Amino acid sequence: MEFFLSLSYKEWIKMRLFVAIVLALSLALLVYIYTDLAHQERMEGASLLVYKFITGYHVLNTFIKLPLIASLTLALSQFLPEMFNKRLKLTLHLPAHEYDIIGSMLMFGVLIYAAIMLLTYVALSITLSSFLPTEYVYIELMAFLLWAVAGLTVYGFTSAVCIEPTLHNKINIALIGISATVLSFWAEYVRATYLFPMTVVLAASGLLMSVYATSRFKRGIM
Amino acid sequence: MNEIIRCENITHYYGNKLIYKNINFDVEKGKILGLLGKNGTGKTTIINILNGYLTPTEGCCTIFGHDVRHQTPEDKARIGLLLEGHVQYTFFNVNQIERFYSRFYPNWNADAYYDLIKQLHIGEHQRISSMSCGQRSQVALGLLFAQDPELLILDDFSMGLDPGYRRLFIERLLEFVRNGNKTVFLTSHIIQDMEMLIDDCMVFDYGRVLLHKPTAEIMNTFCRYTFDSASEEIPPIVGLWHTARVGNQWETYSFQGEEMVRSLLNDYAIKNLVCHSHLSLEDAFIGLTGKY
Amino acid sequence: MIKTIRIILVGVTTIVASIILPSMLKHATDKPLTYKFAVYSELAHTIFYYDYQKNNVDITDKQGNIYTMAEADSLMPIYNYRQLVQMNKMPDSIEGIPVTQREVLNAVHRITIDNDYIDWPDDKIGMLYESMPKRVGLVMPNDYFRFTPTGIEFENAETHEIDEAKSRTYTNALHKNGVSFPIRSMSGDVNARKRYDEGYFITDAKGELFHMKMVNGKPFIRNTKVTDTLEVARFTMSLPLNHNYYGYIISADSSLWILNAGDGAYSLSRLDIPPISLGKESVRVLGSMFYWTIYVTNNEGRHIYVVDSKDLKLVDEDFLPSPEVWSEKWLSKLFFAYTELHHYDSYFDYPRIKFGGWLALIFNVIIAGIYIAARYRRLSRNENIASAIFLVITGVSGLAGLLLVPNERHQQLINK
Repeated sequence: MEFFLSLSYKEWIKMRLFVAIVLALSLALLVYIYTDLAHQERMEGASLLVYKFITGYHVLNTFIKLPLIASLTLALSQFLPEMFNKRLKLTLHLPAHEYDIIGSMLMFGVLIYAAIMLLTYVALSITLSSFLPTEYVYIELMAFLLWAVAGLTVYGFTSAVCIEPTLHNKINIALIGISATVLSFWAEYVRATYLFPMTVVLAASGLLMSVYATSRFKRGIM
Repeated sequence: MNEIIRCENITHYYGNKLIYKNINFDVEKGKILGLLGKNGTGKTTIINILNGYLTPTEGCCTIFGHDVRHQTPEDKARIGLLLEGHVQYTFFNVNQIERFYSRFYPNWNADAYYDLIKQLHIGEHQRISSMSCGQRSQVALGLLFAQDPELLILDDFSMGLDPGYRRLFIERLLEFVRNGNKTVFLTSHIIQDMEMLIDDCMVFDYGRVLLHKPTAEIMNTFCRYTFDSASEEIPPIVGLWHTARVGNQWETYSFQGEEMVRSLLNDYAIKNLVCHSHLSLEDAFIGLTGKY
Repeated sequence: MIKTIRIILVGVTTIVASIILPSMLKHATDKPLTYKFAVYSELAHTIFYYDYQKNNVDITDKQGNIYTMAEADSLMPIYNYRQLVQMNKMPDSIEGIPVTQREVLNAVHRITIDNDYIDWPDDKIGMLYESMPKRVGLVMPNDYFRFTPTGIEFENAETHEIDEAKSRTYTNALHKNGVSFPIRSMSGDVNARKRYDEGYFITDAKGELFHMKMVNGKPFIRNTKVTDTLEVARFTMSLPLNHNYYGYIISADSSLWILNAGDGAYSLSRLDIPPISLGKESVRVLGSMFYWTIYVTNNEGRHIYVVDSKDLKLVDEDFLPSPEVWSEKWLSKLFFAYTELHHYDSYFDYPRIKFGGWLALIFNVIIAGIYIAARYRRLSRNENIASAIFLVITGVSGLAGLLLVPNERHQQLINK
């Protein structure tokens, strides 16, 4: 735990600007959702707004981009600086096992990402509850939750692409990552109810790929 | 066993290209070993192997008696590492980087770091990214001092530094090393700097260790000889290094002494043999490895 | 540990490839599954087929006779009603029954039951319109309702506050009329543009079907008593313009029934067609004044049934075999095992493994052979055997896994 907290200091200094950017993006999207729903309610009436949802309307379609952008931004801001001049060697030279080091880095990234998604989830839930019946708030939030988990797939594979030492394997990992991302964002809303386990497995695989790439980096694979 | 570093039968390939085959060396406690070699002879490769960032094709290195591929956290805490180019985290400022590293090393001596920083008149909130190469090198050195490791591994410590910062780096490093009986393994392209610093010298050539001797012995016994000869060609002779015609004269290098050199060249009707002794380390290096 | 991680990553990549690669093949090669369009002729009393080619249409009947467009127009007056009226050739009566525009248009209706209907989720929320408005036209209510485990609650759309009085009134009415809670499902038409409203039909905890609507502001709850005749699997509301029925019921034995309307009573008519395999078959009903044409489509082809609109008894039928699906043919040859996420027989997406044919297994053996031939010197005997078995089972997907996940083992062995 102490090692994790110590390493987190570096990760935070490195990423804080980008965390702020992602939070700002989340806030902007929330404001957009709120003003859009308020506008619809004002112009068309509350009943018609509910009617639209009964007939299959969804309001979070723009929000699918947030986990994608957030995870990509966080992964790049965390691992690109480590690959510049192979600074990761400095990190891996810290007095700990390499798996503890990369595990702590990934855990920090995952926790930051999860904190942003959780804040967004809570804010969304408050925003949507002002306009919609709880049933549709639940449907929208479940969709967001699935996308948030799917974003971890992007985070994991993007980190792995950054860490992987050889160019052609970066491309291979990117291909796997893109395919996994497509599957993670495959279906939306209620259709995707049974895809949670698959998405969790893909997200875990992304993180595992980062650990694997770190091991290859450590051994100097070329 | 007084060796801090031991490498046995190290063989390494990059793809199909052989870097070295069956090289063996060790570094004794308290010594400063400098590794010299031309570009592409595998200096950084051996640094990477020692740090566990490269697995050799064959062979094994140990530090503190432990295989470098499985370094324990305790071993890592005893090793100070300087990467080529004084690579550090440029997103930190002077305070932040000290605060970060201090959490990992139980013997951390912050005063050693800040004493050096003060001497350089660097502000505590100045970001590493805004520093010059020389200032960055001193920050890296200060961090090593604060860590107080038993072994320092420095890869091309003089890269990108002007003469002033190079001299400063060497003086500070020497003082630190001598006071603490530290062991150092370092590489550099600027051999004049190495001359002031290293106890032992190891020269890599393509595929092998060419030489591993105390620096003083090399500089005291390795001589350059110039002579005249009517011969068109003089083949390689054991005991002589890089015998070649330079303009109207011939030159060669040897550890052997003038009489022995004369007798080795007996068959080639040499005249006017002159011994140029007390070579600089750079001249000795060129003599050992050739001009190209 | 690194070896274990690599095995897991190869496994996951293989599964990902087993979804993505067939999906890409399908996407690149899919064509619409087009059948000839079948229409029953009220005058010729046989099924006609419109085969739409690129620039023209071939019209034939079930016996194979060929017709021109003008001939077909006059033989199917209901289907070509607008064309005949424009040409002033529409007959005044058909089969002795006078035909007016209003009757023809009001009798047209469509019912669609997709393959994935079986697990289509119910509406969570309903909106109860006033079924007998004082002024022409339906007014959207300012509240919505949901069923609870013990009753019903109405919530204001703007404030989201529960209207306790209205909720209590309707809950009491439901209980009084014998509705058992919790309800299983409900079906209604919330469309704001519908011509009239019939509220909702509710299947209660005991499987009985109740009709619920708002009449003059008061709850109207009636037991349809259809369970005296059948066991309701699913009811779906579908309101035709002529007010003849409320919707259709799929019974527990997979028969298709119509819930007839008429003077406040509820009666059932069974469509005289074989039971439907829910999940495997899709059903389209094209209803008109005299005959209903029912298209039941499955993997083998399309069954066409024609029933009399008066009693829904079968009058004619035919079968069109399924056109060849090029992508499915090649999928079964190239992939011995592959995974699909989207399924025609389910609303939900989830991984499901499908198996191709034995040709695909031979293809896998060839892939395994080529891989081992290219790599056998670089791998140990055990690795060669394991790779071969893996590729025989997984084929192209497994090859993607082995090639894409980085492996330095090959590099090390090159150098030895």
